Amino acid sequence: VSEQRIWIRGGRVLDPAAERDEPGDVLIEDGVIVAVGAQLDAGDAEVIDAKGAWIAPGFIDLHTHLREPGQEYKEDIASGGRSAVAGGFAAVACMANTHPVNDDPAMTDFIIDRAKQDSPARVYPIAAATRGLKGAEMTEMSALVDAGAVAFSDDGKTIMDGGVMRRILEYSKTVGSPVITHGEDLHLVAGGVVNEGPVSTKLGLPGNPAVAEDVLVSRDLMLAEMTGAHLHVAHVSTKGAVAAIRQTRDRGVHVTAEVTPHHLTLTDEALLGYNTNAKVAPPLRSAADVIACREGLADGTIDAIATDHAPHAVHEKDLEFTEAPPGMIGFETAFPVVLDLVRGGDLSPLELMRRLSTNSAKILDRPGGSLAIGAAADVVILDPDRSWTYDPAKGYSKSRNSPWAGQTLTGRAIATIVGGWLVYDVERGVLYP
Amino acid sequence: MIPAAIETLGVKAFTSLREAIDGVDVVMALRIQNERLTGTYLPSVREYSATYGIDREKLKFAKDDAIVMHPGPVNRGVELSHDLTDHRPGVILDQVRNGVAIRMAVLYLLSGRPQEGDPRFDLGSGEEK
Repeated sequence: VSEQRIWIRGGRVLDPAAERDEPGDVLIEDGVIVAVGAQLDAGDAEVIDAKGAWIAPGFIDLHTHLREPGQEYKEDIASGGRSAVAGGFAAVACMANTHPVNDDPAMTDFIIDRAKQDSPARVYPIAAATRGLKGAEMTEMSALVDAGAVAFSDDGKTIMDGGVMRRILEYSKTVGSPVITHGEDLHLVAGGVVNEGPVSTKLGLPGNPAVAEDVLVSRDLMLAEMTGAHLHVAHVSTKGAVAAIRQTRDRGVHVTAEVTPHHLTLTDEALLGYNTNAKVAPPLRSAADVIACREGLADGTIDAIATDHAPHAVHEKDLEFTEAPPGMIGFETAFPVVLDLVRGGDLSPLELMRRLSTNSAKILDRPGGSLAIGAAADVVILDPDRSWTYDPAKGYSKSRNSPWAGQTLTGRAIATIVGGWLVYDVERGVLYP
Repeated sequence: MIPAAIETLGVKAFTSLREAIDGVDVVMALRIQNERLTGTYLPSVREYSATYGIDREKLKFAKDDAIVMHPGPVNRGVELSHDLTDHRPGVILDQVRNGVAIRMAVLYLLSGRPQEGDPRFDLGSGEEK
C-alpha cells in the first residue's frame, strides 16, 4: 500500500467551499485531492472506512498558544501540533506571547523551522503587533511577513494606546495582513477575574465587566473603519461586542471575528465551584452573552470558531482563583463541544465545518478549507455520534487545564490527514512525526 | 462599591443612608477596607463620613430600640461615631466577644470534629469496661 494514496470511503462529504453535502468518497494522491464523488474505485490505495462519519476539510485554528520558545513545560510545538491533529486540526495559527516574544523575523523563522520538524499540523506564526507586546512601538511587519508571519497581534494584552493601534492598522495595509485585537479595556477590567454580575458577587471575586470588551472592540472597529485595514476580533464574548461588529460589518468595513468553543457553550456559572480550569480571558459570560455569540456565529457576524488553546501547568492552575493564570486547552474537545450548535439547531453540519475551516483559511489567506480537486489534502474524518470520556492526561497536550475533564462528550475526530499524510487515527493515535 | 447584581442574593441596596435605615431593627457598619480597594471609589473620608457615617442624629430614622453593630476594628468617627462605638445602643464589644466564640466553633467543626457514625465519635459512657 502506498502512503501517497488514501481512499476515504463511504462517508458524508461536507465541503463548504463547494456547498457540497452528500454521501461519497474522497481520493487523495501525492498530497492533493484527486477525486470526490460517489463510490470511487481507487485500486490499491490505503482505505479509510468513513461509514457513518463526516469527511470535511481539516480544521484551521486561528488562535492558539503553543508556548515554544520559552514555556515548554506547558506545551511545545511538537505536543501542541500533536494535540491539534488529534482534535481534527490540520493547521493552527500560534500567538506571539512566547518567551522571547515573536516580534522578530528570527523568531518567526525558528517557529516555522521547528514546526516543520516536530509538528504534524501546519503551524502559522502570528507575530506581535508591538515590540515585546509592550503596546508602544510597532514591529517590522514587512520583514515578519517575509519570514512567514500570517497576522499581527499582541493577544493576551490589549494595545491600550488608541494612537498606536491606529498606526498599526494603517501600516498593516502595506503588508496586507490582518491585525488581531484582544479587546479588553484594562482600566475597566481593573483586576477583575470573573464576569461582573451575580456570579462574581456570589463568589466574592473581583468582576470584569462586559463593557470592558464592548468599549475596546468598539474603539478598534472605529479605527478599522477609519483606516480601511483588516481588523480581526479575537475571542468575542459579549452581546455588546457582537452587536458592534454586526453594525460595523453592515457598513462594509473589513472586519472579521472569531469565537471560542467555551464562549459558545459555557456561562460564568461554570465557575461557581472556583474551578480555575474554567478561568479564561475574556471570562465566561452570562447566558445572554452566550446566546448572542451563537446568533452572531450563525448569521455571519462572527466568521469562525477558534479554540484559544492556552496550556498552563497543573501547579500554575492549582492556586487561589485570583492567582491562577487564565486560559484552557481546547484542541481535542473543540469538535464535540461545538457540535452542540448542530444539536441545538444553530448551524447545519456544513455551516459548522465552514466556521472551522473554510472561513478561517480565508481570514489568514492560507490554503485549506476546501475539498476541491487539486487542493492540498488537509482532511478530517469525524464521527459525530461517538461518545467518549475526555481525560486530559491521556491527550497529547502537555497541560491538563480543561473544564471538560472527566466529562463524556459526543463527537470525535477519528482521522486527520495533512498534506496527503495520515497523521492521526483515533485507534492508533498520532502517527507522524 | 455595591457589588454587581447584589439584589440576586435577596437584599435591597440603597445609596441613601436615610432610606436604608428607615424603620430597621439593626444598623451594622463596616470599615472601609482601603487596603483591598484599588482605583477611585470615594472622593474623601470626610465626604464619606458626612454622608454615611452613623451617629445618634442619623440613627433617629431607625426604630427607637434599634441596636448598632460593627464587627471591628472601628475607624472611630468615620463609619461610626465615638459615642456609638462605646455606648448603647452600640453593642460592638458584645459582638466582638461573640465573634471569637463563633470563630472557635467554626474552626473546630472544619478542622476534623468526628462525624456521627465515625467510631471516634463514640466516646462511650466514661466507665471502664
